[in-house]
Amino acid sequence: MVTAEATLQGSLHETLGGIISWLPLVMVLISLVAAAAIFPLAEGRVGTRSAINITAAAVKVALVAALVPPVVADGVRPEVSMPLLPGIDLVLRVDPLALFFAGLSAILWLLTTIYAIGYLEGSPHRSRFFGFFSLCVTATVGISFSGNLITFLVFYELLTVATYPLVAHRGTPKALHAARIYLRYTLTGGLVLLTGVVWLTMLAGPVDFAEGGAESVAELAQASPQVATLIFVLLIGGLGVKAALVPLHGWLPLAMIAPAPVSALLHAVAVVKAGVFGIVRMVDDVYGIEVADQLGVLTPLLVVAAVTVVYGSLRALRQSDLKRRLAYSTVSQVSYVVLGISMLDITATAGGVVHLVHQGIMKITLFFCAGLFAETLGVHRVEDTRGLGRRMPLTSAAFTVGAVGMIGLPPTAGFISKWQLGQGALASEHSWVLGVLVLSSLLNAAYFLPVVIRLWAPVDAAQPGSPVREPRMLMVPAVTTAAFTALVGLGASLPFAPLRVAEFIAEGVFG
Amino acid sequence: MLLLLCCALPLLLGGLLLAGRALPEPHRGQVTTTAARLAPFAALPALILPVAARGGPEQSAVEVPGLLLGTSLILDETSRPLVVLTALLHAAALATIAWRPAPGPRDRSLPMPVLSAFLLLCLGGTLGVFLAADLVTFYVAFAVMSFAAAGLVIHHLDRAAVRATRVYLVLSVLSETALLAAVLMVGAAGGLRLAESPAAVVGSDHTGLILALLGFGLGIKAGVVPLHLWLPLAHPAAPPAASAVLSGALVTAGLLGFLRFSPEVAQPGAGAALMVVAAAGGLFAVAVGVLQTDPKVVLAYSTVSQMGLVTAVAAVAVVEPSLAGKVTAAVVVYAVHHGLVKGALFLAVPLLSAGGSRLVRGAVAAGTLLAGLSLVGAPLTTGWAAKYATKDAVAADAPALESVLPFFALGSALLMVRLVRVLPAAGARNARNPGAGPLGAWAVIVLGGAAVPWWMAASSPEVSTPGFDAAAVGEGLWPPAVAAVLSVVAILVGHRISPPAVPAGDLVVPAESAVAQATDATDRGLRTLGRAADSAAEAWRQGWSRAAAAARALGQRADSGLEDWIRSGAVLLALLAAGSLLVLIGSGGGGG
Repeated sequence: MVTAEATLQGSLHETLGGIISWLPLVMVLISLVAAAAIFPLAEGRVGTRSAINITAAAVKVALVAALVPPVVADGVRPEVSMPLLPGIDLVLRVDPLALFFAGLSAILWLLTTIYAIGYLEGSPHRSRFFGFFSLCVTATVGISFSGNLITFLVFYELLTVATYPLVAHRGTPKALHAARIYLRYTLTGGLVLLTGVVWLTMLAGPVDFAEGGAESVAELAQASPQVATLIFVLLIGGLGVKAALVPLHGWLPLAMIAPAPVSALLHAVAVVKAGVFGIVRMVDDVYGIEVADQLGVLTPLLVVAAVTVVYGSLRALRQSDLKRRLAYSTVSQVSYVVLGISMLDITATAGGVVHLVHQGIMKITLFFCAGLFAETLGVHRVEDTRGLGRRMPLTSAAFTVGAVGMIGLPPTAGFISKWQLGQGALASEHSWVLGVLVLSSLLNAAYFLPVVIRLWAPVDAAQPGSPVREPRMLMVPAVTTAAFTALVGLGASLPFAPLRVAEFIAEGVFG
Repeated sequence: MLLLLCCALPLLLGGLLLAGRALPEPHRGQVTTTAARLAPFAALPALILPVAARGGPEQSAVEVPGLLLGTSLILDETSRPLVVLTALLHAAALATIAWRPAPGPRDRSLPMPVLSAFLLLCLGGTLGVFLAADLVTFYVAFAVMSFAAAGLVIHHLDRAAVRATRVYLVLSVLSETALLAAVLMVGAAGGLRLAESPAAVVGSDHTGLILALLGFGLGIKAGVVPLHLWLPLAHPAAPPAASAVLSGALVTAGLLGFLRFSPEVAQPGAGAALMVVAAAGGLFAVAVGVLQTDPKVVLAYSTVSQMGLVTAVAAVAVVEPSLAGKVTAAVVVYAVHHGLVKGALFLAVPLLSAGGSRLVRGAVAAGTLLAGLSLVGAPLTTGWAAKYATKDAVAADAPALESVLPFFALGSALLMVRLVRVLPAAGARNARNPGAGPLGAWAVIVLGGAAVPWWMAASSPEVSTPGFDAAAVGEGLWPPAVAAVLSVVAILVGHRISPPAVPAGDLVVPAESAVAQATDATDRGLRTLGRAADSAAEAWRQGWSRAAAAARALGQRADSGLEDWIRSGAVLLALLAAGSLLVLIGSGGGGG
């Protein structure tokens, strides 16, 4: 009796384990199937299309949530492997960092989908849009679950191709120009990355991502450090285009011409994030933090990140277009992640990794709100935001929360990042980074607070402007992410909170 | 639990009030107005706490590990009186505004529930500053308090309020940033618990930098000259109830910061610098204050002056850490005395011009007089006791400061005389603030101000109280007497000389123009940077375009040349041959 029960439990466990190990593939396929179903749909089938979109997104959030306890608490590493080329496998594997990024993109994709359905209501080419939208998410999930360099490269390039039609969606000369520049930048970056990956694979064989770095890469670094350094520069340089490291950031402010949900996707969910996620993977899981340190590549990377942080903020100060200001702010904020992982300190690494999520939810809030202002009242410029607090109170409140988070004031998520990074900087050998953080906080305040003050400032009594109805499909996602911004900060120390998972990842990095 | 409730209840109610603004009418009005009327009771836990939590540490400390980076609160002998002060002031302010009649059509002020909400957030934040047991909680509470107070300053939404809010926000952002940097360094040096911070300040590699940043960040909040710029602008712009809170509780939070981080090992240089700057600034504020014409500006300068005094006293503990216990106790007594008395005076400003029955007017006048005399330090008032306590605390180690202290009493007396002179004229101007409010709330503050510090001084072993002897009485009497004589002289000769007109906020005017110039310069610099970056990007782009064009041209030429070859099939043959050769070599190599 007892044994039978045990066997039953064992087999149940096995079945569950079997299901779990297939989940990474399932999650990639969900969006791919959604894309395949959406492309042929007639333009008018709004209901069907929305149902497919939202179902796929919701299922993915549920799957990610189901994966968190086994992967983070029990140490399970679900893995699917299939041959791609002779000797090279396509590997999808879920580790905490993968789950971290996938969780962010799953939740934000759901919200962005809702937002996009509302945003594009009645506009042409929606099947094309949502088809590429789903492809884009397929690529993002693939990037997050990639278990080796080649798989990563494949999905990374797929992302480039899938986002191009989204940036160009409006089809205006300006949009096409921005999309062309985007493609030029990202393809060049992809080519450099490809060179790096091929070279590394030639010398070290297929590189599997491993906590603490891949052994074959460590051996290569031991044998010929110059070549390993050169390959590192190629890899980071290629990824740096999407991660918008100065001076490779030029495409990002131009791409703000795209519709607001695409901006949200570019800045918070997929593209920029994929670049910086790739950098985290290269530093922590390909080279390994110790090997990277021995090669002496971390400090130059830290300096590039610091320059990017300050430069992005300085450029943001003078932008009068709200979305352009937000774009330069992304340039600055995303480099916090690079800053964190290149300081060679466990607290700083946790701070950098957690900022992947924190920056995502804060910046998506701001882009949602900017889209709302533009859609409902045609407000694009910072100076026209005066008095919007009374006309669009919820949107303005959400924007305020996002901006407060970006400045890094408590009790928002941004404060948690800044605290971790600051403590990490002081514990590391690079205490000067604290100065960069402080300067960046001041600059952030200098370009966000004037917008917030304008929003809530009194308007001319003669033409107060009546309150407008904030479209619910757009407003609900914005308010939700704003609430996340506050809650993630308030609950930062709860189990499975982003900070906790990031700390767990950082422990893995430092072994 | 009660400890947690103290901070959480006001914050939650304040948040709910703001969130309630999103409800559709008519629910919005009903819900938020009702909540705002209940708001004064949110201060209740904080009023009960100091009495209730007299037992062991389990009653007076609480940890919430899941909140933020781990939150912990503790009620100690320093925070106990300050909690009473804050709760009383906020409750009175909330009660005062809760009954304000609906604003007139020309009034653009924010609705009353919004003011209530910001007062509640400010209450929660300030209590958090006082009760914090660790650095993160302290910093978070400080920020909540600072930014909630901006909502108090902007309330009337007129030109003065917007300008004051802008200055306040700029200074607050600078203050928060300096504080964050300092707190991060203290934390990195092992001072994450506030109790360990004084040791960490000394143990850090960056002691000097930490002290400078703390002095700057806390000095802005505490209103230490020359960082006081926001005070004389914010007080006249804000509603009197908000001014009472700003001048009574908010500045005290800055002061408490000085006490909490006072380093364990003597820092004579830093301590002396703080002492001299604070004391000199306090006397400077008197000189500027007596030239003002708005009673609330006069009161604001009085606050700057008093904060200068008490910060200078707190600096004694930096010079001589062995005195920390005595100095802290005296500073806390002084802070509670000043907070309640100043709160009573601010709340009295609208009451004095609001009218009412003869009895009410008489009571208001009497209460205001009592508060004024207490501020000056007349015998038997709490000011007398507080001034005696500070004098006694610094006498041994800072005789120079001790000899200066009486002049602050003289300064206060001069400012009070000035206040009496400008009050009647201001009546009409303040008529837009009909927030007469319940006299009860005000009376509680007046009576509390007359009693609580006495009780504190008497119950603390560290604080010495004045005996009713000739020396102590004389000490309390001469400043008002001299001030009265000086004032009579000033009134007699005043019409012959015209005193210089100093705008409220004194240094803020040159500071604003300096900031404007700096902004212009930065703007020009950024424009140049932007142009340079854009032209570099453009050159880069054109370079690529040219390269692409060249490649295309080359390709075309090669293409047309190749075409004949390809058509002839020779190329295909050659390729096939090369391929076979490769395969042959490959297999041959494998075989050999």
